[in-house]
Amino acid sequence: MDRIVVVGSGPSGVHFALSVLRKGYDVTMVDVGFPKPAVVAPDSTFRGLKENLDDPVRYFLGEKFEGVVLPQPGREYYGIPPSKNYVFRTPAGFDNVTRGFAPLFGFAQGGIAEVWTGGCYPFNADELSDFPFSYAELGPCYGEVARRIGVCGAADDLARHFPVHDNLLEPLELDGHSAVLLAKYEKKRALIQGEWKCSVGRTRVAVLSRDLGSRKKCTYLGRCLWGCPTGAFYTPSLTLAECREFPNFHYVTGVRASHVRLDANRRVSHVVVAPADGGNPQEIPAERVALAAGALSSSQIYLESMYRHTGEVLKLDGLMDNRQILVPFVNLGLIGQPYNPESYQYHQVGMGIEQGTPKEYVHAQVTTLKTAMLHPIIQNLPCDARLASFVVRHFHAALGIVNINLHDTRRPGNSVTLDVQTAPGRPRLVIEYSPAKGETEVIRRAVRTVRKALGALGCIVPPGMTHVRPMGASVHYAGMLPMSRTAGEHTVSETCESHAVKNLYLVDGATFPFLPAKNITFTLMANAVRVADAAF
Amino acid sequence: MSSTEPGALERECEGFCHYLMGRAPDAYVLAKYAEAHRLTTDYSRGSRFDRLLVSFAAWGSFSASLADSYASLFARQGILRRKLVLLLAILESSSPAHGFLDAIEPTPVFLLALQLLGRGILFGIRVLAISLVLLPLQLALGGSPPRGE
Repeated sequence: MDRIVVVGSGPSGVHFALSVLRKGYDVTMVDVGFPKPAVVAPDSTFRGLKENLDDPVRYFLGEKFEGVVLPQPGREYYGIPPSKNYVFRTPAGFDNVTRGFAPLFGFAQGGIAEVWTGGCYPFNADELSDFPFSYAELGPCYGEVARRIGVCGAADDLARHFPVHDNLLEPLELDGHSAVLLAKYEKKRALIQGEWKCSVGRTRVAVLSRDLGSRKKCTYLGRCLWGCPTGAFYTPSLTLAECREFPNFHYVTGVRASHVRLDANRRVSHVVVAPADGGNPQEIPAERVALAAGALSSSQIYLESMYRHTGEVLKLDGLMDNRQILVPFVNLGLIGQPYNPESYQYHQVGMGIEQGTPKEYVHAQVTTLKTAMLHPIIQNLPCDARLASFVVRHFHAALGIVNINLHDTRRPGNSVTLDVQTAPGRPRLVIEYSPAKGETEVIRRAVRTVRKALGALGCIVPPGMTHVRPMGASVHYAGMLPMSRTAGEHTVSETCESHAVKNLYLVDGATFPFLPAKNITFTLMANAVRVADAAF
Repeated sequence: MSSTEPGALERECEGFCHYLMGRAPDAYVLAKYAEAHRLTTDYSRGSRFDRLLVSFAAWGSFSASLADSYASLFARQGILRRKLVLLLAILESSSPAHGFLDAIEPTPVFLLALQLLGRGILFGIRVLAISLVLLPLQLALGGSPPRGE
């Protein structure tokens, strides 16, 4: 069997690797792979950490207090906790140029999905209409991924937007606020669905509601935002650990792949990697290569490979990402009430809003903010800190935030290319993005619908606090080397094999020809399984 | 008075703690507050007006409430607000102070509304009163960018 080199240990890479390992292939995974720090007090609750750690401020705010969100216009309501900073560490010399796009890169074991929020939303038939395969082909792969990672949810009103697949676990226990929202929805369903074409239901999340193999079910410690200490919440590093148990798996960590070397027949012969902390490159022989470094990094490797082979600097169009809008709200019925921080902390409730065409579907997730830091909210209120603390303290149980996602399409001009002039020998990725015409109106319409639905659920949206996140913030990058049934320039086949380089596969989001308004991670994993099944 | 001297920082932290939660900080909170000031200039960089506002706020709980009321509208990114946000972040992260933010008894909404109204009126009075003094000073000395800039 061929020796396969997989580049990257994110969701696509590890699920592709696991599938081909099970088929008996010899797999070498090359990865920067910054490791996750040891888990702090794994049995402790969120409150327990504050009460029992020797230095809780260091845990919650970081060694250099980088977790403090200081007053600054445009800042997010919450940031990445210091305990997850390792995910955003970059290798020596890492650099890029951006225009209209604020990308996030992750070089940790498991990739940037180590900080995902676990949303698992299968694309439906309409959303797959631009893909060279149907839901019938991808559906079983969703089921297989769900069997591997554990996905819980319910077949409720939202199932019309994301199909029910095999191996769906029963939903988690609801936190108090989410339970109130769903109970209210039961009474207002006719209005919310009928008038505003908005459905409300349980989100699908990659967390265990019952034991799965050696992983134990969620024990509701309330530490999700800070990094699940028990492994009940799925991240790709868990599958990486599973891959590492195979004798035919070789994990080459501490190196970053820059390009692949092509032979005279335009086939990959080697993957070229360099130590992540700087040093001389080395070449790893390969018979087949799967790029799974994330859409941007895989595109960069493709671009640099072509540049080194032909001397031509290519430009790849079609970069996509989900625009996200944060809408904070207050549930009037919960003002002045206590709350329980020992509950699941990411979204448990979602909203699905039908638009003119099925592909324009708008998806929103509702997070009820029980263990997020409060000082970013306090400092945003237009009053003194003592009054703001009083308000937040008594409104805490009632606070929530809706994260609206919009779809994106491949458009010319939203591109990636290389800058080979600034630092010869070490090309930089250049990323350009402009929003679609009419986006402002789409945002306005989506926010208005969410606001109305929240109103019907007994909530109000404080004026002036809606926040349109910059492009790049959702980290759902896709589209630069799309799947296509016919061989086009810089496209891949339906099994994600490059049309230009026959033994080169792209198994991450770079190959998606369309980006629905959904977290793509679950589909990345399912597609990687599909490719491994179909082509290997 | 330099706001990074240990003794001055301790007094400042004590004053701000009294202002925010009505009691003195413990040794851990004092140490973390000082540590943050040692590690970054985020809490010392600012205009002359910023430094004056911090000095005034550090006199005690009442002056802190006046200065913060003003800063919350007219100097949101100034040093005083940054110091208060830092202290809030430390307090909500550590035991036993975190309780002041996340442990409440159920409160009837009408009672809460009354309390909010009262506190809101007091906030308004404080802003009006202190603005008469601080606004001209800020214009004369140059302050932090106003809200929204």
